[in-house]
Amino acid sequence: MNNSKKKTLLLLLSVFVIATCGLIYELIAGTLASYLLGDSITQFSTIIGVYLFAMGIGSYLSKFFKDRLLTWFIQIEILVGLVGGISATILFFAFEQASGFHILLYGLISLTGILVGLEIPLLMRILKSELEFSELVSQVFTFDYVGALLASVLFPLFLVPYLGLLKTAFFFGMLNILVAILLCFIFEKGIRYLRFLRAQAIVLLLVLLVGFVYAERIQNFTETLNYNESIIFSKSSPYQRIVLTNVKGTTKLYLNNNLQFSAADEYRYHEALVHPGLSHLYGPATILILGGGDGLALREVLKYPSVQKVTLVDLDATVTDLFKNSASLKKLNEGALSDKRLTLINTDAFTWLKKQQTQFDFIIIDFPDPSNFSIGKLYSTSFYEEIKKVLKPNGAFVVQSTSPFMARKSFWCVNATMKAVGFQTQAYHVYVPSFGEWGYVLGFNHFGSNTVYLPQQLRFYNPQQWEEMKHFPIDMAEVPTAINKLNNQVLIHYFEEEWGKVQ
Amino acid sequence: MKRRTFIKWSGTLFALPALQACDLLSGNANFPITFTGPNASTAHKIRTQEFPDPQITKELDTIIVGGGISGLSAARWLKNAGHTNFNVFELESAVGGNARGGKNKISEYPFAAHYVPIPNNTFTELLHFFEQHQIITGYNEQQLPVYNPYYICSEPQERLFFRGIWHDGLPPKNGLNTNEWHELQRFLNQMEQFKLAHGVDGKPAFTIPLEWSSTDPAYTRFDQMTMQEWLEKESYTQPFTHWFIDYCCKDDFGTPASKTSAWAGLHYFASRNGKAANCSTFDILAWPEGNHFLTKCLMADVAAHIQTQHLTYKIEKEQAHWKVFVWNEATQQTILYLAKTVIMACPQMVNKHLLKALMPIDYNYFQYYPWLVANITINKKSELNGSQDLAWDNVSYNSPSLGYVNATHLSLASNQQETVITYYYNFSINSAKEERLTIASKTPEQWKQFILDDLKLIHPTIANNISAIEVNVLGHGMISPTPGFLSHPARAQLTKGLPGLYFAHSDCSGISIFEQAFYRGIEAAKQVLHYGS
Repeated sequence: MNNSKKKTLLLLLSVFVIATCGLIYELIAGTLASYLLGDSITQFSTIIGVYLFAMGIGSYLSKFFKDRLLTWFIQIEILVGLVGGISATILFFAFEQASGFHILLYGLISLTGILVGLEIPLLMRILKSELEFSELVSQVFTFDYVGALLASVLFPLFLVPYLGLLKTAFFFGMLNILVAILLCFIFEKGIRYLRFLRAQAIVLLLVLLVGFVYAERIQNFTETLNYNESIIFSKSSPYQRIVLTNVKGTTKLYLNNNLQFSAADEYRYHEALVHPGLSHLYGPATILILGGGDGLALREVLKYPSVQKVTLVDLDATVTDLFKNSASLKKLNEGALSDKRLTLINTDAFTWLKKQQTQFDFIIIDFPDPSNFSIGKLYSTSFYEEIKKVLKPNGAFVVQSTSPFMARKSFWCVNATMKAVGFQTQAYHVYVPSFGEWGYVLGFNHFGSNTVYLPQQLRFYNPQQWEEMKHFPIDMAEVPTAINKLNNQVLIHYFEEEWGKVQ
Repeated sequence: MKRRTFIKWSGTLFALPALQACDLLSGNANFPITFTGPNASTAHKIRTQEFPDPQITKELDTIIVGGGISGLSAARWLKNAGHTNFNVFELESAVGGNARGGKNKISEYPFAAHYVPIPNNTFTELLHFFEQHQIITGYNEQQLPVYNPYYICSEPQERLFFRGIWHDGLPPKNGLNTNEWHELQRFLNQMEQFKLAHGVDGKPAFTIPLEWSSTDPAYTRFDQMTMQEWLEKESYTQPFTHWFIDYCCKDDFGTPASKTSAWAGLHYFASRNGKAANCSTFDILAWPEGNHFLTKCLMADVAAHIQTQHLTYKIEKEQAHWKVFVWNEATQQTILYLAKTVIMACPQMVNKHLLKALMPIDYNYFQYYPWLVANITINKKSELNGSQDLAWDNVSYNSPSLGYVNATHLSLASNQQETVITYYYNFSINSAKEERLTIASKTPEQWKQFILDDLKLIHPTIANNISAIEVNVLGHGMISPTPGFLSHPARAQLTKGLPGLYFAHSDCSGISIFEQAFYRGIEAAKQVLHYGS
């Protein structure tokens, strides 16, 4: 094989690599988009369309490159490697920021498409002196399509399961750049700005290598891959990471990766939270909800005609805004957050509560589980002392108290802590399919045994159900526990011990 | 892109150990460093006393020199007794001394002292003060005080970085080997015995105020040796035991066990026996702003009598009254006050210059080692978690520092991301004077590096999470009870005072804690009231 033939073969091989890489980038973009945005048919279809169209633009633009074709070819090759290699990472990070993601996604796809689209025509022009036209077309396209086949087979079977999206992108980016480096060395004489190209290629190769090595860290940083569901919204508020997902029409809310509700069965949770207490009170007029920024407990509260004023205190304005304004979520909470009877306050519950003078008929406490010391304070005797001050003598309050099945001691510790400040309590539980057995504790001074008023058309709760909810089977029955105080925080220790076994 | 953002991203994307090693990422962290130390330049003028002659003369019944805890406590006591014609003169722009504090948009924080243990039930003056300010909210059936739950330091109170990870508690609840554990238990049990011990005079061997402790030589003899010698005498050999006691001595007295009187060292462990309705003897009372909270309580009663930026530079006796020369830093004026009685509520290193021959005592026995207190603003406090979550007090076994205290620990906000930590370092290896010379030469940049180098041992990437450092260098941090100090005759002379001039500072007791300053203030006020009647 003479020198010229060797070079031709090399160039054809680079067609093969370019084709493989190009298709890989396209597949990564499609997978990422359907991963992050859901609706994979639309995502794949639009991404393939945009990518091919961009390749068309690239091919068109190729005529404006008049001379120094090989130099341009190598430069473009390097650029393809860079853009393709880091595109997945950029998209992950951009998704966290939530706005403008679509523009970036299609922008990157177009850029990759244009660059790849430029390459084949340029290469054909480089090779036209070496080969017959018919031979040229035949060989270039053969390598192109074989590369595409290889990519499409490797991608689902090997690359995604073993390397993951980020590593795959970095790997093929490096492959692109390696081809560029190889060409730089073989065609030394025909290339201008050789040193510049070489230096550029080597630096970018190192950058991609670092990305490849640290891909897992990047992935952990983005967290987004943890959800095996289509994400329809995600945002980091100053307090937490809010992620809404959708699977087959069912919305789920996650705060810091913890499931808050699934639209499929949230009514069980929220009816059980609100109605046992509220339906036993005479004409409850003023209600306080602590936590519960999704407005779902509020939706249940507003079903009572006697309710005149509801105060909802939730730390995170991002959550309350989302549930107040998003059309699909408004449907879920029936627009409760826009109700005229509501006063919405975005602040920290404990500090707010300490300053209150007015009293309420019913208080709903729907905080996250006591998984850390700062949340543990919201389940302490001191907190319930403050509740005592703002609860009317004939009123009641309810506390979501984690799972009496998974965290039996934690649950009964909440009950014991409420008793310790002088309340009578009624513990109860309900089965919520997404959560399992879930527990609540009612606190009160006096509590009637008859239902006073129950709204029509509830989906789960009724007085017969209430009798069952109060009964605890042996494996969830009361156990003696210590009392959770600010200066012992025993609940956190129980909770860690119990949920630690599960997670 | 802001530099900090860049650091965060680069730290995550290309977390290159090599880059970190050359300090590109963590060493040159770009945050402001400010100084809030005492007004040393004005204070040091008392050495030369170059002030213009007084143009104005005023008269007062009583003057209190110094607005630290002892001065404020004396003022409160006088006021409650109906003795109201008095002023408190404080050199600094704020009162409180070592119990001052600062504030930024995230939290209040202490400048030095930051907690008070549950007091002994015998110290009723202190309990009354606590009642008055809702620190004690009532008493239960057994007459035990109920402490305000928001002021009892909540869990997790302490953690120790030991053998590479954080352990809950100090001493740690786990992480010690069998020998270390047994020896530590032996020590703590011995301290429990001392807590119950009484001398032949019927007084407790160790109590607070320390003046109420027994004078039985069986216990006072411990003042003749260092804490280190006592440990050796009692055959404590485990390095952990020695580290722990050394840490405690430095924390409370500003000197290592090898320079601390054994009586004082034992007093630290054996004098606190308070009983409460809703917490244990080992609990402590704390506030985000530390003991500045108590300064504010004391000040509430006597604010109208306080004159800040007033430097007292000379005191003379003239017939029936005391001539007190005061420099008003704000108006740049000297005022001569004539007073019937004076309470000296400033340390003896100051009194030495004010009183000169009037009080011929041996001042060399009063040693004050320098301290560094740095308030560090942290933009993401979860980064300080580890095998144990961030506690109120966080100590590292391997660090020469005393660790740091988290100001927002007692905050009720459940989702605070940022915090301020107060970092303590005590300089006591060489003599106090040599240590002062060393620290005086440090530039802000060197302090930054000094603090970062130490903190990086427990939090390697902490520089990325610091948004500001406020450095407070205390040249004369606190009185150190060196061996022999407590039985030294100078202390008795100070307790007696001069006719119409009395001493209130906690250094008269030899131990710089809130309770002692509070007590000495009351004692001096009582002497003033007695002198008049």
